[in-house]
Amino acid sequence: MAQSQRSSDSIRSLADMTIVDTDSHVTETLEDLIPYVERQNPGVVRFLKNAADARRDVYSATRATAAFSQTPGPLDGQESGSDDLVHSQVREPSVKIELMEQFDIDYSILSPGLNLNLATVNHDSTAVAIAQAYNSWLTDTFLDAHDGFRATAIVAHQKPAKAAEEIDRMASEDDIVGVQLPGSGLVPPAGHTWYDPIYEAAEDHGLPIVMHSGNNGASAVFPIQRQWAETFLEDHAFTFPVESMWHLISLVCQGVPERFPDLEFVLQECGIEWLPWLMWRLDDHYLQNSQDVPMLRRMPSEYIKEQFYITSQPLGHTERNDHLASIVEMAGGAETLLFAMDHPHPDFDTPEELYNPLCAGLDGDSIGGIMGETALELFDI
Amino acid sequence: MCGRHKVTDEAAIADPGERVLTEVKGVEIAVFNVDGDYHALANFCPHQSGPLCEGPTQGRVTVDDDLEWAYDDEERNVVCPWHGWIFDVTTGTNIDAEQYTVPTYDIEVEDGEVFIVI
Repeated sequence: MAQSQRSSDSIRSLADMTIVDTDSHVTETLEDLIPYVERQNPGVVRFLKNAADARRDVYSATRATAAFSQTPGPLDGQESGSDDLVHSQVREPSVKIELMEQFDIDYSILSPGLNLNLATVNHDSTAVAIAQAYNSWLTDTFLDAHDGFRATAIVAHQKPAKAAEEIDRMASEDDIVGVQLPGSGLVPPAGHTWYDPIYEAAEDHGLPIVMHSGNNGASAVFPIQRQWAETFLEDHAFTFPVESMWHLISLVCQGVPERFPDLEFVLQECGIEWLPWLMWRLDDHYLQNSQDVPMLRRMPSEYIKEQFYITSQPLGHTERNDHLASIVEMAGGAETLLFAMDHPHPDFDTPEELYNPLCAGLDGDSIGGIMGETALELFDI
Repeated sequence: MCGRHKVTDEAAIADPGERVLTEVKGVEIAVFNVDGDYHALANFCPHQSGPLCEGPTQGRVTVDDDLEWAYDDEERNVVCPWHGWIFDVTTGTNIDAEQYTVPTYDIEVEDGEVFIVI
């Protein structure tokens, strides 16, 4: 007992923990990707070259108002940025490496920026071309530049068979540790059999499906609710968590964990505070409506605890640290939560932002899992 | 209250699907005929104390190996009339969450009479 207590205490210091940032963005632009599209999919490159406004002419991505207009940070695809390290553009490795050194991040799981909107690309072959270009650009530009870089390879859901081929191509890269299926604007919801080829390929390669939420594509998915948000604040507060709830409910209730029992999912940037409530709600609904979902053999919360993970940033602002620690414990603790920083976006969280409140209610082993050890196992690092 | 308590004459529940609801020493108990066998269950849902055994009996929706929907028509499940929780009459176990169970009781049949053994 005493030895166990010492062991637990020995990793209570953040400095002793392995820190894995499970949502670390690059800020790719079409300019970065066009040379790859030109080589790999020349038939559609004119759509990119002639786009006057990428968000309008390639993607269908909108916001209610300018994002984080109080803060000078870059957002997906914007050319302007800041010289401030935490707000810089990330189109080459040095910025990210410097940031990792400053905050003692051991591993960063690189996520896309502009292409979080990939699901909103109307032209299917262009979406496939962009995905292939992004993955190649990311590999060439980042993956060999630092031992701590890992990344998700993005896929275009518009053509599931092509997405599966892209997973096969990228799985041979040792530093690719997941498949990014952006959740923003993704229709139909993620539990639909449309995505089975993607899930099958990911499961075959032992790669988790990573779904980043977002508000830019939400006008297509939640047209009424999203379009009546008059400001970025309302838009952003609503869409990120609701989008992930929509996909999570669909994934569980359509039996994806039964159909792909070895496949794991990571939900990024959607908050965690709602997860206990949703598990309770789904279990309650299940017990009253189980004949709607005959493919399920267990309570929805059991699937969520076993096959789903959720990233931490952005944390809600709580009056008391122990409230957040309690919610994290109810959500599954180190079995579910993964630390994420979300650099270089203006609402990024430092490791201390999560570590400090967790100390108010979780033991050292649990905190160590959340800060990095769970991610090491999940992503096979 | 230990002992054997007569519930009904067997003729009253001779056909599959029939049931008799009775009270033994203050405990409401139902006896169901499931495919010719008798099963006794407390008339109490552990969800919100509803009258479980007053609900309909039914089979259950299931899936085949290809996850296409199918139906197991053995009517061994009782559905609580309050909130729809479903229990297997033959085991007393919730068909969706085995941690929820309802008391079951042994049955004896003798000379055309059905008894519950408590």
